Amino acid sequence: MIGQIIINGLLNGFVYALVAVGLSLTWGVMDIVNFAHGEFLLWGMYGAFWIWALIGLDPLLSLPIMVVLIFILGVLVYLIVIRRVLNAPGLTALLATFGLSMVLKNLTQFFWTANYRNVTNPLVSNKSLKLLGMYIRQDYLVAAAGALLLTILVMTFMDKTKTGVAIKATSMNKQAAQLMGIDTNKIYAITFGLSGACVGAAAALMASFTPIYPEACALYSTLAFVIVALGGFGNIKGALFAGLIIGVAEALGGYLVGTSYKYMIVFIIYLVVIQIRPRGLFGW
Amino acid sequence: MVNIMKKYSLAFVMLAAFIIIPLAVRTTDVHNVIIYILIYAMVGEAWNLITGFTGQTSFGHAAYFGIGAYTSTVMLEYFHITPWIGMLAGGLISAALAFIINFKMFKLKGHYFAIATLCVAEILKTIFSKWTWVGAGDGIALTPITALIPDVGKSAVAKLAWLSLDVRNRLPFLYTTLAVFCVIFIICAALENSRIGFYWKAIRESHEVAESIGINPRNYKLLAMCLSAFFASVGGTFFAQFFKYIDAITVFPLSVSMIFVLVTVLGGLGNVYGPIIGSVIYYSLDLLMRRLTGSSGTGLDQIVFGALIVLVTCTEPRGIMGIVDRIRLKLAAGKRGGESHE
Amino acid sequence: MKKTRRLLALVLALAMTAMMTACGGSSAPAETEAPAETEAAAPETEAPAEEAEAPAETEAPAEEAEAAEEVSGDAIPIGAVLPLTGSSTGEFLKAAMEVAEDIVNNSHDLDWDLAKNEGILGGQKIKVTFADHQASADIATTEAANLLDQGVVAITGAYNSGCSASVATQALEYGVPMVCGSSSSASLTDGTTYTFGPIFNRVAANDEQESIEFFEYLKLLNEKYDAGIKKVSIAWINNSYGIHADEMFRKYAEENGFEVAASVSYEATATSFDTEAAQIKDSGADAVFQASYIGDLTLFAQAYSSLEFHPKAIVCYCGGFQDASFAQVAMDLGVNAYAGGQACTAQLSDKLPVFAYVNELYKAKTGQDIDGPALEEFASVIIAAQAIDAAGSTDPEAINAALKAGEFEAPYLITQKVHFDENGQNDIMPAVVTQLIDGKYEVVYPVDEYTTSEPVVE
Repeated sequence: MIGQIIINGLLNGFVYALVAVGLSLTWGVMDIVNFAHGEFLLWGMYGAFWIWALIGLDPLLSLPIMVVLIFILGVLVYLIVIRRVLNAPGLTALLATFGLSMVLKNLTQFFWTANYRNVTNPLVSNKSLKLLGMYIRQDYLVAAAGALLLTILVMTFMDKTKTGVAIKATSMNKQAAQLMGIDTNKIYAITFGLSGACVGAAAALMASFTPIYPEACALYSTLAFVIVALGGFGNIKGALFAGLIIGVAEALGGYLVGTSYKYMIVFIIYLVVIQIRPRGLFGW
Repeated sequence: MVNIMKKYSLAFVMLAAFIIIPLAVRTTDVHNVIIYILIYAMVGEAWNLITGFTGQTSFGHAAYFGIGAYTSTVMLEYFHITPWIGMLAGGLISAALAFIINFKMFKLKGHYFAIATLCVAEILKTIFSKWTWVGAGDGIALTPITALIPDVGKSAVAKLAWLSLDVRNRLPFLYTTLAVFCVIFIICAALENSRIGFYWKAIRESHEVAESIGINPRNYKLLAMCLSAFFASVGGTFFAQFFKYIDAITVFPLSVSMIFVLVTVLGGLGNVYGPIIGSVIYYSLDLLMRRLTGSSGTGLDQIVFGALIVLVTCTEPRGIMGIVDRIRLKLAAGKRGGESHE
Repeated sequence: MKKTRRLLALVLALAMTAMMTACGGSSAPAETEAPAETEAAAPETEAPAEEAEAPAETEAPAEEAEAAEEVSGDAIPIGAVLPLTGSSTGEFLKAAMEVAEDIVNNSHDLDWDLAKNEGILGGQKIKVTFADHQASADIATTEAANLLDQGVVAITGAYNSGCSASVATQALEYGVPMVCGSSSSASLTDGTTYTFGPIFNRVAANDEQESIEFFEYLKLLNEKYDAGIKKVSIAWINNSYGIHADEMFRKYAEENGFEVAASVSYEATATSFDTEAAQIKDSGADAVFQASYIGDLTLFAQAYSSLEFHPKAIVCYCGGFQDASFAQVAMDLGVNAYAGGQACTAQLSDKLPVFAYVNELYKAKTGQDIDGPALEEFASVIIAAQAIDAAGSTDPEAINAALKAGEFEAPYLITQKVHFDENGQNDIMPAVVTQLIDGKYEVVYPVDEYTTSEPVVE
């Protein structure tokens, strides 16, 4: 039984990490708290749903499409809104993304009502693989593999490509990066797009097993905030591990203490860890 | 005196408006919105102390708001104690809690601290939603005061102590809320101009500078946090009395904490007028949108509203007060024939 | 560049001020206050503590007079507060209420006087005014107050139990009766939790009535179909609805000799229910009860299937089970075990002609069959109209008296009538147990002329 709970927690943790990696990019790298992150995810899920509903393409197969579409959404959001508030004092940028999240969320309500949408009979279903008497959900397993792959991809991108290095340089010192001839405006646009692309991939992977409605992503984004902070800002590997820790803590805590308390345990863990490591588990 | 009048002319104009409008426009709808505005402005002022003046971002003020709501309600319902005392008790509990929690928490920097405050509110949400004594997930429905204590109001003092906080007398309740808001506003304005306020701002600008002028940043941050928690808690008491029903999901969630952030930043962060201006704009627009499009069930009101927030932030990063200041400057410049005067 | 920005800001500020004044203006009635009063209030600004006293006496009567004044229009105003936006499906409830409005106002070829005649009180029409509470109890309060201010003579809604409590609390203040459709929390009508009993009336069965019926149904499965159900578990959402479902579940499980194996509560917003489902499975329950909304119930159903957990019966307290999209979920999973309380099901169309007619009107609006909550909201408007008719006036007090006194004809329900007890509960059990068999809601209990299918025990 405990084994089953841990497996569930791990799989769920990968899904959390999937959402958190995208957030880690904008928040850690650009120092922009993007409250509309959950709504990016929401739009990705609706996108995957409608592609499935209208032309019958399974959400999993529409993954590349969603990656591109939400990348574009991210870049547009940057160019239209974020760029203007980037240097504003205090929490102005936060407020802007908050307004944005209201717009994006309620647009889904406006276009598609608050009805719950389910992708029925997806390519990978909720059927389980049996391993040592434990049930492993196929849909979650695919999402977990996707999360792992995505994190590795993003990390490789940041380490190995010129753009990635430029993003890192910009995050460390914007003025210096500009002096080195980096077009920081372009770098920020790419970072926002990349964050969107991650969420787009997450949405396509999650659409098979999540009921889709305007409020669907609220808790995912709250948890993503905690996960990014727990992992250490700007640390993508940190976000992955923090996601897994949170997932397992939630499942185990829920099982041992009571399922109503499962999120409380997550928040307590953050408070405790942050006392010991004030810059997150993997913070520099 | 004249100086104060001049310096706070905006405050007096607004006070006059808040007194006259409820008498002139006698619909429950408008009265409700004004009460809404005052309650959230109250907590906005509280939040402004710690985040606007002292620079420590809190995403969890719903924690103190909720404790205020629960404390006064429990004292009223279970022990028949007037909410005025419950309000003070809730404030003290909130301040004590803020002290205990933040004693260690202030070593955290920036976002790490902000997320920690969010966690505190979420933890309280779970505790209260499972705590049977305070109604657990059922919440507490407030009994009308006259039903709870039938012989209330025998003396004038008792009448004032009880019925001024009974929302069924909506107009008196509104003015009570206004009065308490004024007290909080005055305290905040006084603090801003005091030595303490100066230290807070020094801490906000730079820890090192603050330390170099010989103050202990943590102690001053704790002071700001405790005061802030106290005022937020007072707002919670009014909220509970206003809605006559509270449960953990209504008073503790992140969305409530975000309202305080929203109204203050919209109005102008670090400015005593910020919360009240932001709150006025937010809720009167919210009501207008709801009345124009709300019952269509399309969320159109929220879309327009969100777009407006984006627009304001993109044009004037200092919020509405930034716009007001510009207009003021322009007017002043016009008066002096274009002569610069800064 | 800077200049344009400044200009934009100015325009914006102006627009806002304009809107604010518009706001004050549009919602203000023609009434203006005597200037003497404003003057009296003005000098008090220096001593805020005293302000509370001054206007104390002027308030209450003015409000009432205003409310009464506006009822003079042609149509009789009835308020409806629903979750039109947010996570619930308020638009379907709204459609059902509009059908009710249509039935009352226009002549329909049915063997039912209310439908045959145009309007009530000898031809007067009703008008249902909708408001959106966004599934939030505090917005429900202000929206209800606004409707009551506009002079609605009865108020309906509000789907979510917590919001219904808020609306009823407001309605009590105005002395306007509330007819609540589909909220099911037992606390609303237990006579002790809330004080609004005198003006409150609820159509739907509450958790207690449902619990009694559910355990009778389980006993039927055991006796007649040899299901061998001994242990029962429940998963419940941690809010007003779930808490009382759990309470009643445990009470009646014990009374009927079933062993309670597990009682698992969960938060509404949770992202997955795999842990909860594993716990339920681990408890070894033969039958599972659910107090869940549509989103959580869907996730639970998926989790049960993925754990290859197949209890003999999964019994649902109203809520998500009645949502048509859940029928699809259960069918895709190939599970027939889901059962639950319903006021109606499309399968009853042959046996209840009035219901079939209502369902056709509803289907034309929404494209799907009417479900339990929608029919209950439909009923709430119908009953409000019947009560106005019975009272012979649009005086809220008289309507309330009529609601508490009479029995109301309800040919669209199996019970054919509705009657409210002193706490406002409809005491003629208005629900049957339906089972989702191959994606259709079949009536399986009580066994009488309305039963449409034998239960399936897997």
